[in-house]
Amino acid sequence: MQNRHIYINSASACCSAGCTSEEIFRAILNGISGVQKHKGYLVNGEESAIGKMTYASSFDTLLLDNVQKVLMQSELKTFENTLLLVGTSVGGMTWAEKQFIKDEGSYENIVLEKQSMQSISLTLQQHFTFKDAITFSTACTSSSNAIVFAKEILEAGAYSEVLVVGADSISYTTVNGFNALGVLSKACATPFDLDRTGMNVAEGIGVLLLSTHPSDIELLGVGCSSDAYNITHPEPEGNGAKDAMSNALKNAGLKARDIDYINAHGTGTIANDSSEAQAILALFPHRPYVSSTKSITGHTLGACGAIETIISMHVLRQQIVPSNHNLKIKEIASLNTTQTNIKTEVNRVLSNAFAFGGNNVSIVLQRVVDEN
Amino acid sequence: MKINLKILGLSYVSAKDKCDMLEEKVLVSNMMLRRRLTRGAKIAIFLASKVGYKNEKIVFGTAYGEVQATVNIAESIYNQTALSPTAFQNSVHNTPVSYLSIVSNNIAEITTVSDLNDTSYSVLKTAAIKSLKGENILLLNIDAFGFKGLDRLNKCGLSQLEAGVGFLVQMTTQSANIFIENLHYKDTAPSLWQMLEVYEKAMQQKNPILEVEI
Repeated sequence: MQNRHIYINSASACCSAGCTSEEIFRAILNGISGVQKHKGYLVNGEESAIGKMTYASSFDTLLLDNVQKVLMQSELKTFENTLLLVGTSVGGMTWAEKQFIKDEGSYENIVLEKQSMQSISLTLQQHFTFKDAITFSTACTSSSNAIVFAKEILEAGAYSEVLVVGADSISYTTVNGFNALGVLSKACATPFDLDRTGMNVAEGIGVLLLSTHPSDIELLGVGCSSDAYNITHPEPEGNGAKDAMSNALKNAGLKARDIDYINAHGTGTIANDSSEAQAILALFPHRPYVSSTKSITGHTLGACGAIETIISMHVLRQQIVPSNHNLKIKEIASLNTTQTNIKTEVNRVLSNAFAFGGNNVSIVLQRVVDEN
Repeated sequence: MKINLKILGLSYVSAKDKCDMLEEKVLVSNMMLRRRLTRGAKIAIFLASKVGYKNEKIVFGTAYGEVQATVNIAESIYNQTALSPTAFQNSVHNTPVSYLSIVSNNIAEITTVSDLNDTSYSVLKTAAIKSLKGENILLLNIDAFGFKGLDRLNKCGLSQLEAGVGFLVQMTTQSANIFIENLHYKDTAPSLWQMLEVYEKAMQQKNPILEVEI
């Protein structure tokens, strides 16, 4: 494989915290969460604190708008030579649930193309022409794994441009499922806080165009691992998370001390936060800044890898480390979790995403400084 | 771009209803863990055991995912009853290979692709790119969807409700002797067709080398 540098040329995102990536980052810096209480999702009739997008446009329209925006920002006229990589964990399940309820519990009108994980890709392919498409579905690391593959296929020289789309909508399955696991918070999540109350299911879309054409953000490294421990609980000492981060550093050709800021997976559950914190403490003795932005965006599941990569791009561009919104009492004092936004030099960011089954992905981004 | 893959090991299972003889009592000694395994997980563990798998990176493909868990969840939601945490934790598409990683203590990278009828070709393309680093890759392609009410969904009349194909591959510069022609297998879900075609052709070769066009 040739030693090609991979860059993020354009990006767009929306979630409950904002309809553009700029709005989302502003909400993060201003501590304005998109997580709100909603009725009608939990089967027990209770309210749930979730990151639901409440814009006038439908999820599909937002999806198409974000992809169109990336196309307009790029130097491309079309995507006809571009590989589409979608990362989703919900796919068309939201549509299928509604259809199933409408049809009073009958599968008669469940259309597989609309129900399946491929539905996001098929929706996009109805409006844009791509050379090829692959959908990744590894639960909450879906779009992160799509980014990993984007780097690999660009490095192989098989494509000049790859479009990564992370997209997951709110579904009854995910809201009730996380509630059944006892990790759904009744309020806005407080990752890394001693008094944390759990996580918030959310929806969102993140779109990135990657290529070998230089830009101000380089995708420097990617790393993956498996916990081989439990189907939902992360390995408690964080060994799987540590392996993913260490593999990403190796792939980037960096040492741990080269990382200035870690955008943590930080869901707000005891199991995740503790495991991730152990991994960060073990691997980064220089104690880089750490924050989770999920108290603002909610946990956008399969889309979180793409969305948080875009948030990390804003950190690099604006040279601001965002605070951990709602962090009142640090559970682990030695973890450098920020409680205010910090204006500082940030050259490299590591972003984590972890999923059911112990599927771990870390991504390293670097700010490219124009010497001229 | 074309990448040639040497097929080091191959396996296949298929059944009208449920694949039996999956040897789970031999392959999964931990009874508690064995009881939690989904149908897809049992098939994944079996297929891996037959190809010489030694904790390589895994590329998994499934079009329909964990159908039984998904159906259980849909019915709970419709009936407004509490969801089973087990059904939810087993409902994601990477469940079978997650269980495989737990059973075999495999800490390597695992990825799952899902492109409905194009799933098996997505597995091959993804694995081919990942093989370029020189590592052996385990490929698994499984769909298992026997559940009450399937007749309403099974409009194309599949007769094999469970099927899976597994390969252990490595990149090679040797000339290919297997080329995908997109053959149809009407009894089996289309999500497995290209992998099944490669399996059948590889069975006829002493040194099977597959050409994957990216």
